[in-house]
Parts: sequence; structure tokens; C-alpha cells
Amino acid sequence: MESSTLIAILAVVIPIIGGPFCYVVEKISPKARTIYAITLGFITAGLTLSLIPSITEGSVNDFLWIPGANISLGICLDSLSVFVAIIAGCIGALALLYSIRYMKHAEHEYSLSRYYWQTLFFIGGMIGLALTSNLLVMYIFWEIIGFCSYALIGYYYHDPEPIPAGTKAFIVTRIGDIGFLAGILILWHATGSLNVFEIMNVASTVSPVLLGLAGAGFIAGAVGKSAQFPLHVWLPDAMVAPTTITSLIHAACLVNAGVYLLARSYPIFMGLAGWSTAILWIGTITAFLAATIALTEWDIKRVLAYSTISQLGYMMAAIGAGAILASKFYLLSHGIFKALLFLCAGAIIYVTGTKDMREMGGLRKHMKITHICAILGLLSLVGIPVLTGFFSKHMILAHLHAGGLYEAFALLAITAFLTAAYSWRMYWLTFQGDRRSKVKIHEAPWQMTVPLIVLAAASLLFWLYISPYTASMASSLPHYSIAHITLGNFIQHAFAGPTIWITVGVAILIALLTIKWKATVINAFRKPSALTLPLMKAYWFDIFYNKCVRGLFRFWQQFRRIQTGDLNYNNLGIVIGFVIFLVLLLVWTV
Amino acid sequence: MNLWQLYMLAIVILIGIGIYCLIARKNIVQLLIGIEVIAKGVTLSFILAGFFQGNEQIAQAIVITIIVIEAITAAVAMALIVRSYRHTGTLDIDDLKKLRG
Repeated sequence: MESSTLIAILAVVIPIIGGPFCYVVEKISPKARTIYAITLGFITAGLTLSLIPSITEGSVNDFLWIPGANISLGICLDSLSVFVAIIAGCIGALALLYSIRYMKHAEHEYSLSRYYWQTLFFIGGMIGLALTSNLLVMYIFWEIIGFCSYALIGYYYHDPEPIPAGTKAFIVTRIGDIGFLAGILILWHATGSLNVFEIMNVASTVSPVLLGLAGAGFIAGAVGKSAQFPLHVWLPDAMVAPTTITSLIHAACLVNAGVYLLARSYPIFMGLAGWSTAILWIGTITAFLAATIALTEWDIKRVLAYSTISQLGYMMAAIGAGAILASKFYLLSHGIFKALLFLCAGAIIYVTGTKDMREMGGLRKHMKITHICAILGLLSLVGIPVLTGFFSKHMILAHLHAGGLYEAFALLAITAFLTAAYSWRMYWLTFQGDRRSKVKIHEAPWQMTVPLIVLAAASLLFWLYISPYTASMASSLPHYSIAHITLGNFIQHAFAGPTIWITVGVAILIALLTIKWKATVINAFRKPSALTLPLMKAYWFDIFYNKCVRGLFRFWQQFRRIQTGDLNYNNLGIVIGFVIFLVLLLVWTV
Repeated sequence: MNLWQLYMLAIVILIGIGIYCLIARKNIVQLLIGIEVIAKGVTLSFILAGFFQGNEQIAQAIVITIIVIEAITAAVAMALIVRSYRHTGTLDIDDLKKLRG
């Protein structure tokens, strides 16, 4: 076995198998357990990082798993999968380090071993999902991360909100998962293979109807997992999870899975008319709508949640436009700066004890490190040079502009302005102005600031890595027609293109907001008006879904009469069923 | 009529009586007896199957195992019935419909 294969297997097995041993180590001492879990996290991160030199094209190793059906655990180490695994491993490790202090208060009420093993399971599941080329194995890991998100969103199970929120996340993503599974089975039926690369080669021979059904199923799976319109409703509610977990869900693990799936399956459905257009418009509309909702939220984590949905919309739109490189680069940079922003929000929540931005304000004097890190994260989110977010967002917009997709380009450009507005509003409400509550404030402890500093540095400097990144993408992904971009070209292109005017406009908007429109923006959403009501109600999605579910529930209630609960009737039913079965069998055979 | 046809008839009668008992009776003890009667019919069918296959020894070994397991299930069921009777004061299953969906 090659060493790279071994590393890939270990990166999945160590967190998944090692995680449950948290319960064993806890018997020695709780402190040893915490150290053990964090060590596992950092070992996993190191293993994923050490996969970079061995990036190669296609499936490197197929272990036959079910010989009868010719199903193997394909391990693929191309640039697409390895970098998603790295994001999961590294941000996961930093989030675990951050958890030492952040989760300490929960220790006397909830089991921290449960927290640590589920987090490790989550990270391992995401790495496994990324590193396999077999769709069935991918689906298994897909469900593992779905389960972990459900369990971790409901972590604080004594509170009233987390359990329904976790259930909602599970059920809403399940709607998409059914589509994904159906898509896999259709592809298996049509091509006789579950390996992504084998399917790519024969995709053109599959009948368009089957391919279209499978493509729609894959889109449904990605829409559910990546919280796109109209299945985005679970993600804002998932904010009741511990902040470390939300940063994992939003930046490192869960939501990236959908975008990754579409990028991975892009060559299969490339020739299908309408497939990429559908993704383009789902992404664009999601980006725009979620950004408008983010303007109105008062909960700091919900602002970031809608921001995540909006930014994922950018990634989806980029895939729809065929810009796989831009989409994946944005996934990486978004992973970094969104994890940074969530961990900043976690530090703020940790010291102020509230999530409501109306009770914050004036934190800049007391939390200097968090303040600077949050500024870097927000500027990256908004897309100000020379942070990573600027370059990656520019790549997507420039690609849309060059591809002649002007409607989507215009909507995403407006979204960029909205992003600036809600980021500014969030920053001003939390860090600037006067203190609005009496709680005593201090800087967060080092276990929390170290991950912040690492992530802030990464979001400042990650774009410098573009040349080796695109080189590995270009060499390991022959199906995608990706060209190598040198750093000089990259910078020149970013500053010379037409999209630089969007950045200039955004900068002017921020200046105007700070100088002139401060009170207008902050006070605009205190009371609903005709214009702001749809935004404040999040376009009535939740209410509409509640009505639908309630109607369905009432419909199926009528069938309760069949279930008498009477043992005699049940037995009679069994006998009648058996007789019908026998008669059918006789009719069939005779 | 062959011997094995008699056997077959006995199996059908036993299982039929047991199922009729399960459908028609309300008393838990009677239901348990019905289940036991069905189990006897199934045991007999094992002997018959062993006879057809020509390896009676294995069939007998299985039958002895089934009898042992049956004794255990009967004991557990009786214990449950006794506890349930002490708890609710009734043996009628219609009075025990707590799990009605």
C-alpha cells in the first residue's frame, strides 16, 4: 500500500474510531479527555495537510468492499477532494482547541465526552466524504455528517429550542438526501458503476432522461445540505448549537458537502442542458434573498447564518457558470473567514453572555484581539483588497461577467453591496458605539484567541497560495479544463477587471454608512414597515412550511382509525394478509 | 391416507386453532395458550421437514432447542402477565390498550 493511501485512510479512521475512546479516557480524568480529543483533532489536521504532495488524478486505490456487486471503497486524492478535507481537518482542529474554554461551562450539565466524540466523528465523516470516489461510500459519509449535525445542534438538550432545531435540520436535509440517493441509484442502474470517474467517462452514453433525473436528484441533495433556496430554513435555526459547532457546520464540514458534491459531479452532468443554469439561478437567488434577510436580524449568529447561506449561493452560482476553480477557491476562503467570524462571535457571546446585538456595542476597547480579527474577517467577507475574500469573490464575479451571464452578475453584484451593508451593521452594533449592557467585559482567554489569530492570518494571506493551488487543480482534474494561474497574473487580473468597480462601490458604501447613514441602517429594522416586513419575516418560509406540514399531518391523522391497537384485529389483519399473499403466490406460479 | 399427510393435517389444525384463539380470545392467558399451540404446530412441522429431508437427527436437535426456548418464553410471558395483572388488576387485553396510535 502506498503511503498516501495509508494517510488518507488514517485521516478518516483516526477521528472516527478514536472519538468514542473519549469516554474511556474520561475515566482517567476529564482534562486528559480534552487533551486526547484535541490531540486527535490536530493529528487529523496534520494528516490531511500531508496529503498535499501526493495529489494525483483519479482514483488512486480501490479496495474491493462488496465483491458480488463490484463496489469498492475508492480513494481519490485529487485537488478537489484534498483541499476540502484540509479545510475540514484544520478548522476542525482549531475549533476543538477553541472548545477547551468555550465548552467548559457546559461540563457540569452535559457530557463533554459526547461533544468531543461527535465533533471528531463529524470531522472524520467530512474527510471521508471528500476523499472517496465511490458515490455509495460518499452517501454513507453524507448521512454520517447529517447525523452528527443533528446530534450536535441538539447538544444543549435541556433547553427548549435545540431539539426541534436539530430535528428540523435532519428532516429538511433528508428531503434533499432522498434526491441524492435516487440520483446515485439511477446512475448505478444506467452505467453499472458507482465510481465517479467511471461514470464520467460513460456519461455521454446514458439516456438524457435518466441523466436528467439523476442530475435533479444531485441538485436536490446539494440544495438540502448546502442550505440553498428553498431548503435553507434549517440553517438559521441551527444557530442554537454551541458556537464551535456552528463554525464547523458553516465553514468546515456540513454545508461545503453540497457544493463539493456538485463540483465533483459537474463533469457527469456537464452536457445536460439546463443543469448548470438551474444551479446558477438557485445560487444567485439564494445569495440575494439571504443577504436581504441578514440585514434585519438582531441575533449575531443568525446574521452570520444568513450570510453563510448567501455566500454559499455565490459558490453554487459559480458552479452553475462552470467556474469550478473559482467556486472551490471561494469555498476555501469562505471556510477560513466564516470560521473566523463565528469564532469571533463565540468569543463575544462568551464574554457578554448574550447573542442579541442590541445588548452589545462598544466592545472594541475591551476585546482588542477579537476586534482586529473580526475586522479582518468582515473585510474578507465584504471583499476588500487585499484579503482572500476580495480575490475569490472577484474570481466568481469576473467569470460570470466574462461568460455573458449579465443578469446573474447584476444580482450578485447587488448582493455584494448588501453583504457590505449587513457586515457593517453587525460590526457597528457589536464593536462601535456605547456599551448597552452592564456586564463586565474582558478579552477572551488564549485558547480562544489563538485560533482567531491563526484564522485571521490565513484569511489575510491565503490568496498568496493561488499559484500552487491552481497548479494542482490543473494537473489533477483533467475533466474540468482548469488553467494554471500565476500570482502576478492573478493580482493583475483582479485589479484590472471590471469587477474592481464593485469593490470601489462597496468601499464608498461603507464610508457613506459610517459617515452619514449610521442611524438609518441601524434603526431601519426595529419596527416592520411595508418594505421591511417580508425581510423580517424571512419571506414567510417557516410559516408556509409549518402550514404544509400541519396540513399533511391532519390528512394522515384520518388513517389512525385503521390502527385500532386491538390485538385481535391485528391478528386478523395478519391472517388476511397471509391469505392474500398465498393467493397471489398461487396465481403467480400457476 | 399417508402418515405424512396426517402429520400435515395435524400441523394445519394446530396452527389454525392457535390463530383462531389469537383472533377470538381476549384473556391474556388464553392468548398465551394460543401462541403455545401455534408453536407446537411449528415444532411438528420441523419434525416433518426432517423426515422429508432424511436427516431426522438434526430435526430432533432443533426441536429440542425449540422446546427449551419455548419453555423460556412461556416462563417470561407468564411472569409478564402476573406483573401486569398485579399492576392493572385485569387480564383483558382491551383494558391494556395504552399504546393505541
